[in-house]
Amino acid sequence: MAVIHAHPHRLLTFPTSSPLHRRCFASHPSSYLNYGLFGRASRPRERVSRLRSNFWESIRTGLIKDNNSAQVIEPPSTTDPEEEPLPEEFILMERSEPDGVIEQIVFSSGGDIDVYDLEALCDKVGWPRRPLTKLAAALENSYMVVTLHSVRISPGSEGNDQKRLIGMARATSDHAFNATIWDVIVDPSYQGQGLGKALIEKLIRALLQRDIGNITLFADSKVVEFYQNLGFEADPEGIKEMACSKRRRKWHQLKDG
Amino acid sequence: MDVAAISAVSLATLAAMKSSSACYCKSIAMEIRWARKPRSNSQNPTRTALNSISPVETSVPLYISANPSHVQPQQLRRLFALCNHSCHRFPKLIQRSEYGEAAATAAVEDVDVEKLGIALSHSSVLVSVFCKPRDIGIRDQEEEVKGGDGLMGLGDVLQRLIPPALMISPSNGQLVGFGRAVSDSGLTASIHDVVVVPQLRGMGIGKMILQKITRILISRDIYDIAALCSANERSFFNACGFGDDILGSTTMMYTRTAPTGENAGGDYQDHMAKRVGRKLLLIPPPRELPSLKVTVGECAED
Repeated sequence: MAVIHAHPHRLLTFPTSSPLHRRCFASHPSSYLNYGLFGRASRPRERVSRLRSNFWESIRTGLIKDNNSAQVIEPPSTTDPEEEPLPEEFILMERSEPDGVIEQIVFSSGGDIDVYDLEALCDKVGWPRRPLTKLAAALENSYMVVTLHSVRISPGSEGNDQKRLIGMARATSDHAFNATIWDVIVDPSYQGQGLGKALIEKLIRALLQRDIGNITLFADSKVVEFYQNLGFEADPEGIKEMACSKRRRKWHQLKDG
Repeated sequence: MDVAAISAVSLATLAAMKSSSACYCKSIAMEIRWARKPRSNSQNPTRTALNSISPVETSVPLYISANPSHVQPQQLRRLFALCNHSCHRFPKLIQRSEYGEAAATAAVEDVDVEKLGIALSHSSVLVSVFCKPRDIGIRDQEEEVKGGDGLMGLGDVLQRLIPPALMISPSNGQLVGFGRAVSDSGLTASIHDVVVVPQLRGMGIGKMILQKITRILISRDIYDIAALCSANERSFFNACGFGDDILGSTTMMYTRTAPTGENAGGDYQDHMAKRVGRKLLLIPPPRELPSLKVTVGECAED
């Protein structure tokens, strides 16, 4: 699939078709950047980390051994409009490899994401580097961050799972009327499987359930069709985005620097 | 003089002393500004809820504030109604009964106050502009009783003598302009709901609001500032220095609607479609991706 050039913060996905070797990262809690430094936590983080630790605990103890079908373990979504949407985590897809290794594609909306992993993924798709502190602040203050991780479980090994970030999307919002989707990214080796679509649909679902109706994004010309297939319309009723000219000067500085 | 007047004096003095650099806006959240109209003709009477329309003064003192606590949702809702502004991009149009059958143009429905409050609390920047009620033709009850025989009472004389700047504050002023920005406090920001009452348009107030918002965002190191605008808002943003997206990105909005049957709107349960303004947007159902029990022959890692 041709694609590309995605610009950071804007909607882009599916970059180049050049072969990129995979790097596996071991997951470890200490590698997560401490978001506590960057302002208020708008989500109940304690609840999120409890949910996550239970989930990973269950994997480590080998409770999910069945590799017959993809198990979709979706916690019930909240119907209380006053609460933030409950973070969810479930296995979107599962496949087994010849040596017995099981690979799971795990979807998560908890927003727990390692900025270094994200930076590596952005490098892969060819986006220019952005300051990590700003990136971390942007993630912390986004209304919702959805991620896809690939988890490889080796047979018989306890706790030696390899977890790698392979996709992400985020949305900013005023929690009432407007939302904008930014930074949609999927690892080139995992494209063409409906993963990007799943990320976007999840964001739309969460936003509409909260009555947030103006859902906007800014798409590179090469991915306009992708978003049209998801229900987005280009320049609906003549609505366009305009950008502040001061940004142009600063952005050019950043590009050259 | 009361406390509000005193603080307004010191603010005005400070405003006069400082130059208009970017850091000025960072350190002072509120300022007194003056807006000038090129001519002193009265504007066309507009559909408003004001008691009367009087000719706009050529020079209007304004109180512009970036303090979020100065704007109340109820007050803002009234301002939006005056400007026929909706927070929904595809608003539902209604006939306002108070304007009678003669009102040919449809009005947008009033914004939900509770949602407005939520939106305000999650906006990174809020800018509100106030003016004296008389500057947009609102007469208070006492003046109505006295009648318009041209004689000025003592109160009127005092008001003319004391610098007008002292008299405006968010508590006694009329909210006439507004703008806000939503941001992720790191990389991006988007500007929404920039409005000015019809009687005070063409005086640079909207531009003032936009400049204040952008200066505040830039002082917080956010340079990617976008504004969604419809066709009739474009010339305003152009005049304020906004231009087309430099990367040539296409603006897209989610507009997939649920197919409507005979009894439109009643068929859909809450988890399937959502009414937003005049559109009934389809909520994408959760999909299960096909399970793959495929053996994947891939190259060795690392």
